[in-house]
Amino acid sequence: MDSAFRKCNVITTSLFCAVLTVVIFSTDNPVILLGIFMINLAVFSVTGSWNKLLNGFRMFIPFSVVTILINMIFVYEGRITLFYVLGKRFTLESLIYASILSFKLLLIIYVFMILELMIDSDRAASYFSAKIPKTTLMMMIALKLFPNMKERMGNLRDVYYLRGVNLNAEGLREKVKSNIPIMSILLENSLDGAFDIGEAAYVRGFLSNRRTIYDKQSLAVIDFIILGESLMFLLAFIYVKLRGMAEFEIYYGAVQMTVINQGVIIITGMNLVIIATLLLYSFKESRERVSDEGQ
Amino acid sequence: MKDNNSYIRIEGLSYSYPEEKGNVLDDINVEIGSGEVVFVCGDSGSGKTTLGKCITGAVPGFYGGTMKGSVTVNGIEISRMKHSERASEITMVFQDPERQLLMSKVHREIAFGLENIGVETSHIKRRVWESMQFCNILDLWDREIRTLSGGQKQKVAVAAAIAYMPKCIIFDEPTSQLDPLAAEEIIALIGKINRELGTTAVIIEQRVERCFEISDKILLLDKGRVCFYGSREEFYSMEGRDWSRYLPVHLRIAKHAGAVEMPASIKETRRLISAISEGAAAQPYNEDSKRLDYDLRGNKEEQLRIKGLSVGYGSGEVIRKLDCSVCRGDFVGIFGPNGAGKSTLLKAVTGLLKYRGSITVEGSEVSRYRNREIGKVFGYVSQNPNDYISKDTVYDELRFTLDNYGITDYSSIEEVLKELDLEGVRDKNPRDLSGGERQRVAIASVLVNKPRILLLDEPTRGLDSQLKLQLGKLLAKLNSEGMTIILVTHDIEFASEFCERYLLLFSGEIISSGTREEVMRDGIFYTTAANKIFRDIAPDIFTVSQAKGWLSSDGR
Repeated sequence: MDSAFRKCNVITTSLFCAVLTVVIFSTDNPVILLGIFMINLAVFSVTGSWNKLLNGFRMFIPFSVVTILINMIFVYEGRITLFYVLGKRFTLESLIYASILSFKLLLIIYVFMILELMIDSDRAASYFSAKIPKTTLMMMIALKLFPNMKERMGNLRDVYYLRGVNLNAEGLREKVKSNIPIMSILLENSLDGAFDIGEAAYVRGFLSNRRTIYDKQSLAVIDFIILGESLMFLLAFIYVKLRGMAEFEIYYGAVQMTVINQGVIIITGMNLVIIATLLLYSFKESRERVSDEGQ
Repeated sequence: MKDNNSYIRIEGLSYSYPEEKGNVLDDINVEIGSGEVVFVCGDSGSGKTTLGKCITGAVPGFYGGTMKGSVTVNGIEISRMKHSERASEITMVFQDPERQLLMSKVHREIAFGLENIGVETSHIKRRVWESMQFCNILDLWDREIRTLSGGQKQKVAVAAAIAYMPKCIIFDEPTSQLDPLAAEEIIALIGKINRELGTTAVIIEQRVERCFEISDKILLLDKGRVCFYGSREEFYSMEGRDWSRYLPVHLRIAKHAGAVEMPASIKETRRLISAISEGAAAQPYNEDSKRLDYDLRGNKEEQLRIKGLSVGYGSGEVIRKLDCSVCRGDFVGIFGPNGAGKSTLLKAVTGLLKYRGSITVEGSEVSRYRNREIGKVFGYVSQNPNDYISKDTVYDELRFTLDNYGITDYSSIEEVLKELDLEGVRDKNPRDLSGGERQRVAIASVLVNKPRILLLDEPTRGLDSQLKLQLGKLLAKLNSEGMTIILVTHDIEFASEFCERYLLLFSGEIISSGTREEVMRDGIFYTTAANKIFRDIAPDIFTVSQAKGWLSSDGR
């Protein structure tokens, strides 16, 4: 079932996610990042997409572990020593810094996931094809190829299993080696597929004319509300950032005031407003859907 | 001779792809009238698809390459047409719907092309809905394309094509990925488009049966040159080199029966055969060498035993309590509609899927085999021969299988290369081989491990009649040498020619099993075209060669 947010205008959802991305990239403040995580959580919750939340978390764990390890091994800075290994000092600050960095990555993954949940991909393709056609075509080809590759991969694994390839080999090197034939076929197949899709698009007149739009969307009340809140959120963040209230320099002594201050409280307040809007809109839409189905 | 009313005029067309030396098309001169249906046939690599692409402008517009001569549409050279003008005048339905449908939802996919060529928003909706109505897919309007069957996807592609309201549609093997029923629906839809909308249709196809019937003209290509271009009747009467494999079965039979005038339908051919039968001493036809051979072989040693087999994906069961057995040296054909569980059965047998019940091969339960052991019992050839091409030479490809099994004696490679007539290409890159050769490489890469049972999933998919014949002969040869073969197919004509035992699957159950005579004799859908013609006279005739035998025999 489509989520209620897919009724929103493509511009609204795109801008909303773009603002979240900009903020994630621009701050290390854990409270602000936590606020954005809460927004993601609200979307996952009302769309019933807990699986996506878990999948994103699973993808995040290995990256997080590697980031934390690398950072703790190579960064000596920090005041609080956690432990020593072979005479090398491991600090609490480097652990926190790496955790925040990987948490930011998790948030980016989640933002892309909620974008998928909130946007009608066909409407987006149609809209962006008119604005940035070549880039959109590239994106469409890529999006089209992944499910096909996934399906083909299943068949290839069967074929190569029966040709004696040990696909469950232990050890990374052996695993990579046994998967090389499958990957090479997939690569060739995806290149061919991309070419064929490009040809079909050419024959069907893509890039031939000024594009018209089949299902032109106008901005509804909810679009104005979300757009307004997103812009306010961005402006507030810029203000807080310029005032130096969104900074979080862990290596130079993270005291309470750098984490929670007036600016962070403003941003958190705006986060809560956005969450409330998303929940209320979703609630209203689901009630309308139930009453439509009842009739 | 030039026809002033021609809609598409191709003059002196020669074309070679970039970085290729030889011409794919060589001096093509063809004129297609407005509203005609032209059936383009020919062996693989004869240039059919390239010709279609020349008409759409994709060659050389998208591909590049060197083109001589001209293609004019409605008096305007295609290369001089504006891109949008060309796209709205001529469009194409491709072989694989997966590679032409870009959007997620059906109605938006149909609208996509119209947006491309700048049709006004107010007109798009009407065209989208009417196209769906015309193709009878209104119920699918808001469905996710990925959830549709192959036939439904191809109907969406056809609806997207007619939404342009084009003057001409090129259909490039639109049924090659479909089962017979879906293929029939697509061909019927093409006929309807031509009849009701007057759209010129160029159909490039390997499936002759239905396409021939709806065509006005036949264009036969061989090695990039036009061998024949004319009406169906002229094609039927053509003397010289035997191209009869591009005639539908009933016409091949009629021609062999000596009918000078082309019968207009199967009904007429049946009448003709009845008349011949009545004019001769009616005796039951008894040419059934296959069955006799099979019985004489005393083929009773059970090799594969399936008992109470149930297999499911998720909550649904695809195969339900299936029982059957296969004897050593059997050649079994499994057929049935899509979703009947044919491919699932093959996968379960090889231990690729979890199952309930029992599958024993040579006395041992399949689930207890380890992969290296199971690969020595079963050779599995999937639908796509490209699945078996990962190395740079044919020899390396075969060696790869042996290396995986830790076999260092490579003598079997030479044996298999010889057996499958691949010695000449042993050092060639398999990617550069023809479709038939690739198919043989796929089989060779499995046979090199000397499996006792060969499993093939839709091996004739996308092959032309000549390649099918080659494949059939190869399988028959392997079978005569003692190999057990089980093939899943939609190609009943092929199965009836080469298999010895048949299993008809519906909804995960075996509905009928036995010899060709037992399974196909009373078939309504699952029988051959020849049997449908002969069933009242000689019910044991299933193939064209049998029909020819009957027509030539003294016994009739």
